[in-house]
Amino acid sequence: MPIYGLMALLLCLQGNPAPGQPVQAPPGVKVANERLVLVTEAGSIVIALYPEVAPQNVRQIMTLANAGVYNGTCFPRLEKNFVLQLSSPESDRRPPLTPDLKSLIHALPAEFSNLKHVRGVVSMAREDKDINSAKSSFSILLGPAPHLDKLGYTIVGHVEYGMDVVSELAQAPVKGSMPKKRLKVLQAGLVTAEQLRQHPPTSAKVIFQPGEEDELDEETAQLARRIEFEQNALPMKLLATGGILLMIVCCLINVFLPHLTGKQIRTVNLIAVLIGAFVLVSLLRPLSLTMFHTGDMTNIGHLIAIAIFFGMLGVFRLMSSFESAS
Amino acid sequence: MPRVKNKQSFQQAVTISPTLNVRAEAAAAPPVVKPQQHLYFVNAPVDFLIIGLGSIIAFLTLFLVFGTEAVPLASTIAGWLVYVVNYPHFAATNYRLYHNKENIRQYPITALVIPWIILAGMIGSFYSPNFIAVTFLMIFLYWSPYHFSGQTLGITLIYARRAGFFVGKWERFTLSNLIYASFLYMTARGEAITAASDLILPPEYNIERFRLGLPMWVSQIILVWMVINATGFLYLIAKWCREQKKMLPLIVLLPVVTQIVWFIPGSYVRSFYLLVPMFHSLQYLLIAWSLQLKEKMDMQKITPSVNYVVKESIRWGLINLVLGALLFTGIPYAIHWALQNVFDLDYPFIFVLGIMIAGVQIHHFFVDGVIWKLKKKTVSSPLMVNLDDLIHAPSGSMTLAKGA
Repeated sequence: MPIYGLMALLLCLQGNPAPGQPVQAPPGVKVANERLVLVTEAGSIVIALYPEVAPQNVRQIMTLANAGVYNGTCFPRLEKNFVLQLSSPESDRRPPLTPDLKSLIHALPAEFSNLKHVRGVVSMAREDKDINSAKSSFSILLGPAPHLDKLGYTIVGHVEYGMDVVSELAQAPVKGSMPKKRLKVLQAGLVTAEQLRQHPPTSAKVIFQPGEEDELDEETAQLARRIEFEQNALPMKLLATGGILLMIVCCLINVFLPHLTGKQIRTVNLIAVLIGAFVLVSLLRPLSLTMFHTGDMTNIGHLIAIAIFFGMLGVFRLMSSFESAS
Repeated sequence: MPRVKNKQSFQQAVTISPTLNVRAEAAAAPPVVKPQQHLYFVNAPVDFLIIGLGSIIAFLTLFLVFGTEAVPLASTIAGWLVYVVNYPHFAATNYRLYHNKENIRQYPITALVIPWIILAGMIGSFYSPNFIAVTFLMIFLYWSPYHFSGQTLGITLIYARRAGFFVGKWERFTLSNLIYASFLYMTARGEAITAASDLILPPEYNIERFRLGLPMWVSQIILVWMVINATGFLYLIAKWCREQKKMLPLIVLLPVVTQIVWFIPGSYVRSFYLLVPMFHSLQYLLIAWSLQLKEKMDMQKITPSVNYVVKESIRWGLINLVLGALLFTGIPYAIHWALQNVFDLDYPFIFVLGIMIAGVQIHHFFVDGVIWKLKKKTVSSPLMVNLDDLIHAPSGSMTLAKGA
């Protein structure tokens, strides 16, 4: 990490004395000398890493933190009393990762241990169906989660200082599991235990007042839209493929069933229109959202929305003449 | 509900009744004695209450007492009424289509193909609850008020016909634009975004979706269009009244006024808006009930009597109550159980119910779009029926009509 980055990180740690003593690692677990520090608007979170429990995962985190990969990330997932999850730098970082930094990230094998998922534990995030898919994102547990012990998640450390900061971030209003304000990681990096002793971390700053206006900020809204778009890539492809096939079937029915009357042909065509409209609305809807910016009256997102809106009405109008008595 | 494409088809839909014989184009046919044309399905108080006055009174009461906020009382009432009114109204459509083979033969694609397409949509929704389910739900949520508007137009035209009000090209144009604009305004306003905080809608049936992202000016333009058409329609009514030297019966305008109350001020009063589907269902049931009685009476040559009306109403009502409960309670529970125990998918029941509701309603919109266009002579929409025709023996006009 560049020296000015380290200085800034240490300055962020300084301030009021930290509340309470550091949280100790479980008995018998060796902690790395370097601590991962995540600086947020509410204060700093200091994470002690377990290099002997999960050597490959910890090495990757340290490499990424040293390279500045975690700077500008955020916590896009907050489930009260359960988990606060850091975003994947490769998909949600401001500014986006350069190709060089992106090349540092790779999938990691699971490294299981007998450690328990309790409050303050840091464990790697991964895809649900692939235990060897952890890369860079990790979660901080807000409460005990014994069910995760059986599901195979790699524990890489625990929050040594700053659970009060985590608790403050967990006060954020959420929509589903998404905080309505972007919980930014302003800076992230490694400091040694010695540096930590010299510059103890600050206690948490209150950033969420009770009764505070409960609105989604623009950044988070854009993130939400993009997440929806990315998460549904597979269903989108399946729907498009299935829809096109069904429309072809409708055309073939008209071609190969010559005894159909004119009215029936029209009805089969209307079914093809209906299927096509369903596919089109499904695909265009998230597309319009990714292009939408509040305040801009003429942007392409609005135009797509208008097309969907009146297009659907046109389809309903067509469907009202669906089938005549045969 | 009755959907009428143009004046001619409307007349076919509402006037061709072999027993009443009030075909409007009958000028060229041998003269027949016209029976008295009834304005109401039952009588003025009942028709007014069910077609709209009841809902307008409910709106005013809820707004004046509770303001615009949702109140638990309204949710509780709506929760009970769905079983008594809303679910049976869906069941009534299914019963009407599927209870006789002739209907299925007439509409094979609607009766036998559409359910499979909707089933595919439901399976897709369970496969992808964050994507396909969102579009599936969205289509149902848009189509539902569109369908309400179709019913409003149909009922208005029935009453206009009963009142002898001529619905020409411009009357129809302004009327349908006025009705559909009120639905469009409400929907466009709900899908508009002016700030990032507007983006996510409150979850419905555990399904979160983003607003479409329409600019606010779309709803404002629609509102202006609605006002223009309202003015035009009122002008045409005034012209008709002047020419005919009589007032247009208020019942003709009531469905339109009711729909505007539902969708414009009513959509701001959350406790009232919950009840709108119930009022829509009530309108539907009134007409479907009278139609069912009349059709059965004509087809089976049953003598009109109070006994017949009471017995048939109870039978028809019970079938729809049971079928409605099955569609919206029994089947969703069975699907939920199967998803959990057979497919190992742990969806909340409310999500399963939402998908089922969307599926059944989309099917209802299709069926409703075709079922009211039955052209078979013996079942051709006796929509001019009145309760008197059902409980009293036919008068002389009936005999003349049969002989004509």
